[in-house]
Amino acid sequence: MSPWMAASAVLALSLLPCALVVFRGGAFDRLVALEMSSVVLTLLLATLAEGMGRGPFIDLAVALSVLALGGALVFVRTMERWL
Amino acid sequence: MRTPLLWVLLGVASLLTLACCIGLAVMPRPIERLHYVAPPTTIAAGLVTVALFLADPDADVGARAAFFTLTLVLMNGVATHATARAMRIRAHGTWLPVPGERVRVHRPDTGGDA
Repeated sequence: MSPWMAASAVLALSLLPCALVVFRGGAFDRLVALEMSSVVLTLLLATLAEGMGRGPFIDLAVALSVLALGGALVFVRTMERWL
Repeated sequence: MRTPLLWVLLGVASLLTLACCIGLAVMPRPIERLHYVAPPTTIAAGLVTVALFLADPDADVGARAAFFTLTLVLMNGVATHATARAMRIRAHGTWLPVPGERVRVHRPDTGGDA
């Protein structure tokens, strides 16, 4: 097993605690877990792209890192004003 | 020579992320959980970027990795502040100190807090 795939496995495992908080927590707990999941998924996509020998697929991690910021801010704004 | 270094870099990054995710799940309040987002976005992302630079000398992949790390670092600061601000507004109705609330103000001229 390459170090990239081992890191991918551990990063995928890291999503489980986030899922637990999303399923059981309150509104802001879920938002924080969502932000953490975005970060973990960005790292996971980067390690998977390198581990599978698909270097250009790292663009997915780049796109997710940009979109995660916008998504988190939209959720924050919505919860601050309306929910 | 590179492979053991990759194991160390990626091992530290992934285990740090796992530990922070467990910490996020264990903490009782959202404001405490918020603190656990910072290490993966700064330290782990930086370590993965260094590992990508080492593994793939292609400058294009390294530049992309540096870009998403920079984005994550910036995202962490902005999103954390915005989330904490939203929590406070939901709890108190305003971002500003509420009447009767004790606020610590740092005064550099006196060298202490007032």
